[in-house]
Amino acid sequence: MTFISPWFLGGLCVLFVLYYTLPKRAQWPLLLLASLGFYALAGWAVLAAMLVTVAVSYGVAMHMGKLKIAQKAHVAQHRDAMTRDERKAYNAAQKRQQRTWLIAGLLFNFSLLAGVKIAEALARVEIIPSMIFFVGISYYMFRISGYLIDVFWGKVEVQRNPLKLALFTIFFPYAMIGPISRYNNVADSLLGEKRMDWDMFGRGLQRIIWGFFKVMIIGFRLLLAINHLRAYPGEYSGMFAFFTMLVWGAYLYADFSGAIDISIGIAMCFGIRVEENFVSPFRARDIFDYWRRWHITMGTWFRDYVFYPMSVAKPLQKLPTRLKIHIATLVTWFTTGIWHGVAWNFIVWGLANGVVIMISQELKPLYAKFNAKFSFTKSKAYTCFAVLRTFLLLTLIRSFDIYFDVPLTFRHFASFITNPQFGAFFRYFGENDVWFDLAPLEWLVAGLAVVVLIAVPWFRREARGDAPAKRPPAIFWALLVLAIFIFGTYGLGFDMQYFFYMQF
Amino acid sequence: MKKIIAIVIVAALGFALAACGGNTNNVNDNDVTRTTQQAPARQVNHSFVYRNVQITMGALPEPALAALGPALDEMREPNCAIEGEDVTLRFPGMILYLTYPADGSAPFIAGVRLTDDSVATPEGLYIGAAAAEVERLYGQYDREVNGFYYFNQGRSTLQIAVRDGAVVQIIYQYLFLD
Amino acid sequence: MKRILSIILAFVFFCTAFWAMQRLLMPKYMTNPFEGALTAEYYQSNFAHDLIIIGSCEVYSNISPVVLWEEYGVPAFIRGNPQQLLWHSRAMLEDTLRHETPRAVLLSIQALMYPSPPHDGEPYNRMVFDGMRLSLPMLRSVRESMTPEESMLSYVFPLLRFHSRWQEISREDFTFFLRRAPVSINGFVMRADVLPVGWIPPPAMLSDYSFGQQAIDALYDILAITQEHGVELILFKAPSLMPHWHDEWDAWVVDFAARHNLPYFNAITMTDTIDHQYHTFNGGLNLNLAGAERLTRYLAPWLMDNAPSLSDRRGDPALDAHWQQLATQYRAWQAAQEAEIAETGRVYYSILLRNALS
Repeated sequence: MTFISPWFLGGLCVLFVLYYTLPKRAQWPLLLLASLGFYALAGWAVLAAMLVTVAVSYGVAMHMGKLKIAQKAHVAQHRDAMTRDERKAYNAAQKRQQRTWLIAGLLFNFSLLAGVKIAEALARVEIIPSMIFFVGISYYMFRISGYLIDVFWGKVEVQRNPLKLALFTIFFPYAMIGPISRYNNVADSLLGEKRMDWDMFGRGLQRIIWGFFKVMIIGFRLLLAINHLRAYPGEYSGMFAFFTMLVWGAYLYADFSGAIDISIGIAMCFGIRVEENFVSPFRARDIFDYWRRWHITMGTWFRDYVFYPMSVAKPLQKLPTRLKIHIATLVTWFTTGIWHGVAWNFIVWGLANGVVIMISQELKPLYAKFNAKFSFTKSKAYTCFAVLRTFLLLTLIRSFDIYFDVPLTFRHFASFITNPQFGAFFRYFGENDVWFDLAPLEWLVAGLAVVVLIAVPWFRREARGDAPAKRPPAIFWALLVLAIFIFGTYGLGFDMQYFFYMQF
Repeated sequence: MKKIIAIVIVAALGFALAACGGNTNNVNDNDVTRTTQQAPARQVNHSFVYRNVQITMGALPEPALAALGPALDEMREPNCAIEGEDVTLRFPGMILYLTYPADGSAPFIAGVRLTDDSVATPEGLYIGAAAAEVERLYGQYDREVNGFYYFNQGRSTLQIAVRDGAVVQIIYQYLFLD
Repeated sequence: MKRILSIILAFVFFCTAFWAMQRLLMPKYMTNPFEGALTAEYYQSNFAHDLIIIGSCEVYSNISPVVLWEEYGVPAFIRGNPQQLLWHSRAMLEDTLRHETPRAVLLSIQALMYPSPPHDGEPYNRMVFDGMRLSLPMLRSVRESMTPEESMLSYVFPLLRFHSRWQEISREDFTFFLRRAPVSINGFVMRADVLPVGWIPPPAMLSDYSFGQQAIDALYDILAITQEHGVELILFKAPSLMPHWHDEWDAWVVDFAARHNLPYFNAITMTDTIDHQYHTFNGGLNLNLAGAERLTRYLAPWLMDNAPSLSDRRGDPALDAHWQQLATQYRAWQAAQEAEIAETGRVYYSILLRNALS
């Protein structure tokens, strides 16, 4: 079951009606039931794995919470009788106990995740029979693991109701595609009682439409061309490969951010605010800026739970600061790559990001001097240059996702120089009636849709938190829905598409 | 402590490295086809040899047609209202069935029917042969319905009908349905 | 208030634009395959038919309603579509009964040989149902006919199926946006050209001559519906030389007709009588105009003898006037086709349609 389904959309309408007509205390249980049903459609084993994860994490969090309460009470009770050192030793011992429970919980979660990923990899190479797809496991595993770590750090109150914790973990709009929400960010709106906020509901609907527009007019359409281009990698090298990388970037953004828009929009319709995951990533001036704009919740998760702890890890403390940061950076990006998939292309992708970030960090003082010395660096032209440079750099790094073949990707990079095929590339469009499986008119539609995407600033402003934003009029949305019905990539002859990021 | 957490995550994720693979999950195995076009399967289907011309079920018709030369008779049966047609060609001892699909996908040899005992299958069966020859030449059948024996191979089937102890019909068919 | 008004206006705009785009993007069936327009043409008729003829090209090519009227006074309409299956025919019957109650239904039973929806049946499903008015019986038949890739919703909102035609929009879509040209005379698709019967392959034996359960169930449904409405059911097999109609199949139909006291006209036995060899436009699959008129002249007296509900209705002023108009159109089409055949050797339907509309 995905968002692109009449059954899902029909069920959503029914759910909206029930949500706002039933007593408010029934709201979060209703969402939980819907989320369980949504997961059940993926298979009972998938649902069972998720429920087991929630149950174990709930138990671990509750136990940590009990230990914390006992620790506080003991210290309060014996404050006068204990010396400072005794108190410190006692707290350290309690922390070690809590840590043990945390490690156990995390080990269970990540072992389950690793086990599923390993089994999937073995099934792919037919060492074991094909297995069911544990959709969304990476997302909810990280979500609940983040909760456990936050409980350990004392940032989050333990959730005593296992059903509420289950809802946080698998709330169906973000269950399979993200964002990877933090407990503190969503708990209040997710679990609290909400009145009908027509304004928020309307904006949620608009966000959903916007998401469908991106996915169905741009994303799925460009995927047809991508599939053709990557089916013949030997033929499509040089400029063709570069073109593929550009189209891939547009496809990935439209597909992923469109799905996130739908996810966020549905949550808004229920009066629930979740984190933004994309904020104009192609306007980034450098790679640091880019990763503050693209798949934001994944980036912040790895930053907060891997990079920061690693950079203050005791074994690294003896090292020089910059070396420590670089090691932490590389390890973080290595694990980010692994999160995407058990494949070398994802590892190389992650490490490539890490290496570029490392080099950028090293060059930062030099850049600062350069910017201070030359005033043109503050001009709009320079900003455009920086944006274009970042765009091209990330286009190249992102291309490891296209072919899932690291040597091939490097060969294509080399072909920019060794076999650019400029002439063949430009002649292609004149010699062929269909361009990479898409008619010229379809390219035009995709292109116009991209123009609309750029020209409509509303979502950018809303994502950045600028308020109030002037919203497009109702007729705009009517036209957009009509455009989706007419130009959307769906129906007979189109295989049902899953969002790219649903596979993680 | 935070460092332990980070190490645990890394180590556990590292387990996943043990199964480095190529492609990612086949949920996104997007062999999207714009239409419902399916090219006929190029598996090892039944082949019939007629005057040294190999006629393989499901294959493109043109090579076989070029080798066979002109047919004695031809019948073209267009699809009702939409493009595409079935073509039936008669040769001495054999009828050749061809399909030109409505959706513009590749045409294929849909079947061969032996019409008299002047030709035989590659294994030596012919119209009028004794029923016992069927088992001797082909072994155990895959399916039997009212004296019709089916021998499957790839995406084709060989149908042999037996009546009153003799072979009365031999048809090779390409099973183009999934 | 202003916001609510703008939302309402946007909604109205959306519904109107959706309807307009759906109408624009749905195939008009004014060029090949023009048979897709047949279903909807029924709604332009006067709904005053004693005989409804239901089936595939076995009926809409082979029986002339004008001859039925002019020579025997039986007002008839043919509700047919290419490769119309029996559950399609059931839907046609149910749809017809929502508009009129004929005295008799002549049902082509050739579709019994199709046990289930064919894998490539989607274009045929669309031709049957796109022109049909929405109703629960129609949707039930859609459900029975759908191929696995199809969706019910696309029959309620055809835009969901044909939206991708935005790339193929042609003058035809605008020319026939609001009204369409007739492609038949009371459901009869006229072909005056001749392509004589050539070689017909000998039929292969089948391992199993039983009809599929879905087809049999549809036939029983049709029987029940006609009985419920007091309509006489008559079974019919056209004189098509292909696809082959096996004796075993015919025996089943004969038995069925006998058990349920239904008249059954098997025109295959008459192929020599009507000189089928030369009166076909596609080598023996269907009769041409001359062949259809000959067959009708044998069928009609048999109908008058075997279907007591039918009678000669000539003399009814309204019917006379209506059929006079149809006959004039029929003769004009015949003349136009014969002229075109004399000039080009065959019939190009699209030219006729443009002429008809202008």
